Amino acid sequence: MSTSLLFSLCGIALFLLGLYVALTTSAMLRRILAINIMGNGVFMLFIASAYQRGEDGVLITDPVPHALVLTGIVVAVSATALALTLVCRLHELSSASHEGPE
Amino acid sequence: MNATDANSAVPPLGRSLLAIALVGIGLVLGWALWHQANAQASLTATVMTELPNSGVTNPVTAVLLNFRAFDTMLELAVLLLVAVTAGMLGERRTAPAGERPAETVSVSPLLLSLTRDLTPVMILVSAYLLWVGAKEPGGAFQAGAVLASAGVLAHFSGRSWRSDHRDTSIRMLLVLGTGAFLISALAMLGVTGTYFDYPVAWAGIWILAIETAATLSIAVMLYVTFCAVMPGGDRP
Amino acid sequence: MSELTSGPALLAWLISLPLLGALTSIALKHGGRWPALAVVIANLGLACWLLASTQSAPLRYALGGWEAPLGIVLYADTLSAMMIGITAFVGAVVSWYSLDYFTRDSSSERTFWPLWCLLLTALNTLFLSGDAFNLYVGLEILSLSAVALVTLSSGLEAIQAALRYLLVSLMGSLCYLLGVALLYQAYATLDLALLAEVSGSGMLERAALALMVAGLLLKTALFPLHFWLPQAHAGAPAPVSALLSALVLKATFYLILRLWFDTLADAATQMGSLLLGLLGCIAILWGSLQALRAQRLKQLVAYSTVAQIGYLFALFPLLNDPRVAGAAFDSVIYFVIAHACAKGAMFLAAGNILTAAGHDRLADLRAANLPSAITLFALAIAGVSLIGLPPTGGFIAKWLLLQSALQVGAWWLAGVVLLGGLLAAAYIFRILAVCFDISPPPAAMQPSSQGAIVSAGRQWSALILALAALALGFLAAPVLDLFDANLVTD
Repeated sequence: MSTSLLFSLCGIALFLLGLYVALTTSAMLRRILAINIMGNGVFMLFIASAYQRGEDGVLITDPVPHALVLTGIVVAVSATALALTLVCRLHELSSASHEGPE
Repeated sequence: MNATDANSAVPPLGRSLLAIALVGIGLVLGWALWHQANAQASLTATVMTELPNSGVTNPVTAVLLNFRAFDTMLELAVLLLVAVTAGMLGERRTAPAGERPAETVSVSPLLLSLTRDLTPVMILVSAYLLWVGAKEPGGAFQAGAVLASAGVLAHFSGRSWRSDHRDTSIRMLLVLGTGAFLISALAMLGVTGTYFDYPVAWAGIWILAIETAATLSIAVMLYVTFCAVMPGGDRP
Repeated sequence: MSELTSGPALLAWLISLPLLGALTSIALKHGGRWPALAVVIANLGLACWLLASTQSAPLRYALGGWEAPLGIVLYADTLSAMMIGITAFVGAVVSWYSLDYFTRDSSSERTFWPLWCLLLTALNTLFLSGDAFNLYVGLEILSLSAVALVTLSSGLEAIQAALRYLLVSLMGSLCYLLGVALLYQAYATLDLALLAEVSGSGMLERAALALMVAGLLLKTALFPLHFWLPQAHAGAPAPVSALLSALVLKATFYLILRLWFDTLADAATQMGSLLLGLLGCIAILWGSLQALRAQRLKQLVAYSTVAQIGYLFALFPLLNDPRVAGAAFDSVIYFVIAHACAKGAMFLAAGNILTAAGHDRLADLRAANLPSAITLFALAIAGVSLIGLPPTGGFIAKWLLLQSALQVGAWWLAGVVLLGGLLAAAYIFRILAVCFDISPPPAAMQPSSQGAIVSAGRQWSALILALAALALGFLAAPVLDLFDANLVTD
């Protein structure tokens, strides 16, 4: 089994683990983290596809997946930030509505 | 496993079925990959052929800022979108209930001196990461993130930077990064006749200028998003 | 191919212009609405230009002069031009409506215009981009701006709906991206046209197609993945609901269409089409039944969207059949544009009713506290198009569907479509009944929920969209000619 394949399979395992938790948990923070883990699984798959050996055994790395993953990370950070902002807002609104009008 | 039972939304039977289905999907995907494993497709050769025409020597930077600059521009638009939305939600929160004064918690002197000593270093590191991105791993997002973390440190030591997205200067900085990409892409329509097509001779300088704008903008976008969530973050 | 790239940088402008609008709108302290409006109008002009240009041949444009597989190539045929055209039209009318909807210079108003420009950027990107990863970034802008637009209504429920919508969308995007990663691993290209040439019908392509389509179905809200839609679409401000229902769902549907019948057509199976068709049929019935039971007007309209999405997928088995594929494609595009107009009109009209009456509980609405006849007229015409009665666009779409279904002997499909029409009639009449209900409103809710006056612009914009749905019924031949000019179907 090549290194690349091993990392690819790990990536898929991470994705599915993340998906399992994201679908089963009811805690928002946990769900957001799980979705991030799904994303990391996909990124790992991209990175694994960059890692290849040439015919003479020299390691060659494809820069395109690296760039894709960097873009993907920024998008994931942004999406996580929006999700966390919404969770904070939700928390404030629900605590306000509990203690606000009697 | 037992720890997660408390906050699970799905009954145990459903979870078992889901787990079985996911394992099945995993096996199918693994099998498909296994059969593809000896295919040696890659874009390395193509990137390396065109690298001299990109203006930088780091292939990843060449892909990010030249070959696929369009992706990177849209990526900055995503970040901008989140910063603007977070700013709006933060404004809505502080508007009616401004009762909470800027955190009056006493700040430890250790944190204060740490901030004072670290901030210049972080700015330097950020500039270095930006500069080195043309040749080695580094670049605008890393540099911007370091700069933003200097801001976060300042916030915790009670000396917040300005973060109100209603300030004209802050808003200009927010759009600076995406704007630099867009303006240069459109300018190239006039110069070379093709959107995003930098002339080879000054592609390097051009990319550094765009990255500098992007770094400042990323730092401000991350910091504004952070402050919108923090209590009392909108206060100077 | 090179003579195609000599064409205008029109494709790049269609994406840059809305983005420029968003940036200007954020940079300006006051009056961010004006650059946004200018962009929306210019976008309408560009869309017409695109429709005209694609009539002779498809356009393609390599960004930065870098050809695929290294660079990103934009691509437009008549299908993408139609989608961009309908987006530009509905978007322009909704912008007019929004001008009077939000309080000037409130934080919601100042945020609405940049977000709407970003949404438009994402929509145009999704219709034009020929790069699988670029589409992922486009999908993320689309979902995040859609979610952000939902949060413009400030209540707890809207934030809850937005958060759920966000998490569901993220999972959908990641499923799509996993499919892209699998394809990259096998073929080292992200260009859809190149992938269409090299990809076969192996296990990997099937897995990738299944993942990508599953992710997009989640965003398109096909039954049973529609659970997030009613709260998000009903909870958003009225113009946002109109944009989400009329346009955002169509963009992800368009991508499914492209992947299933073009890029990965070899990997798409008959069974898969049939499954999507069956889910579409269930969606028609389930969405309509839920609309019949809805308590609030906007909820009813949102469930009607679930049903209408069903029609798009019910056509999938027919699209695979060479005997009727042409007519079925015509039907799909007609469903898309007729629904965009009718549902846009419906949500705008519902927003007017909500403002005029102060609430949208169907049981408590009376003719007395409804806005003027213009809104009600819009509601009625849009309703007729959703039911699929002549002489509306909805009728043409259904007629084409029934014809193709009967031609290949798919009686079950014809039956479901007719039943869906009856159910739609039932839920539309629930709304219309309110307009003629002159009994006094229940005493319990007299004082608190007094509504406001609805401006003429808001009433007329709803009517214009409804009239467009009506006009589509008369203009079927020219519209379909525009679409069929050089469609690449195989």
